[in-house]
Amino acid sequence: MRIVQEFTKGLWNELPPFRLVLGLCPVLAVTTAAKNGLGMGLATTFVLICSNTLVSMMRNIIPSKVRIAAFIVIIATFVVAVELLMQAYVYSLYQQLGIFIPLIVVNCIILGRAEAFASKNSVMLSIADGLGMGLGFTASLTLLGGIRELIGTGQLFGFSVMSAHYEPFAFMVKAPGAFICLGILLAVMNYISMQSKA
Amino acid sequence: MRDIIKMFIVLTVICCVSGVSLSILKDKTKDKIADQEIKFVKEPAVLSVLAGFDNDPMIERKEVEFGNDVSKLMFPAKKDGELFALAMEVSDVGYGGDVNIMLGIDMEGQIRGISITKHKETPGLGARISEANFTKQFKSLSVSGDIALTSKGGKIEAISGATISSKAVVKAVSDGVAIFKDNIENIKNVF
Repeated sequence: MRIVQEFTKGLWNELPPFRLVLGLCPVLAVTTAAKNGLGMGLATTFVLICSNTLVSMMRNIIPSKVRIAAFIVIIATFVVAVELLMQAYVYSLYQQLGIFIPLIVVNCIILGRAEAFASKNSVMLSIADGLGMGLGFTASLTLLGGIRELIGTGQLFGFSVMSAHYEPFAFMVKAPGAFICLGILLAVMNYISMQSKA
Repeated sequence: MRDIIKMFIVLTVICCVSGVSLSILKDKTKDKIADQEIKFVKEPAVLSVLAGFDNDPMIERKEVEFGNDVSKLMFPAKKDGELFALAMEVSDVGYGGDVNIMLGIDMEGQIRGISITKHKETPGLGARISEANFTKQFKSLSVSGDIALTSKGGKIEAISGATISSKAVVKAVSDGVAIFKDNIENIKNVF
């Protein structure tokens, strides 16, 4: 049952951007639309699962003094692979995410999970951890992107959903809108978890 | 000592495996990526610099050789089967790397339009070369003296704070026009 626990913790208790407040650079930068958030989240999830698996498999071989260097090489390899695959198969998404794909390498969630979890646990648990964290990250980015897209442009996943009279509040898709939206979501989540504890 | 050797071996092996697998992947995806670039980057650029054609410049594109093993991919625009203009990609080194430009030019050597396809210039400064206010200045120019910055007696106003980027575009375009004029017979034969 531990495997279920490791999977679900990434979905709420340790939800990366909101509970751990990790990896905020892509969270703020790419979430101008729900689709971008989803794409970035899935790319990160893929890298996270692959790197967690490999790090966990090699945890007894890698000497602890060079572990960070080894983890970074492993992570960077998967990131370059994702970048090539996205260029080859989903070029329009690649054009939109642009610089943020190579920057997955320095996303602290990925190195954080390799260091804090995968290097100490078995392969199955590490995959569950990576999948949970990745899906939590994807859901957070999609939610944030969806809210900003809805308020900022009146659309959702590129489809108009607001009535024709709706005046888009373009501030939300700009950088300050990302901070404000993230802050409000953090407050809401803190409130919900305080309520459930009380 | 044994620790050091182990570290050395482990890191070397990881890096080698990573390098080899990435080069295999890069090789496997190379053609597919080139296709995607044509579809998502070059096609919109070609369509924006050519107009009034009734053929498909993308399908009829051909590699034109200029001798000395130099060749360029060209996209012809035809009306009623008659070649009247073509587009080709030219490039020069800007401030942050290569600047690639799709150049549309008609058979009299007059520029029909340019469109920046790829650049790594500074956002807010050099990146403004892709704005219409800059690119539209090239339209209808044909004399090589005109395709130069105003400081050199030409007709192109540089973007302030981005002289190197502006120069790169001017250089690439004027070189492209020169190549076109030198090889116009050759080009007519190919299409």
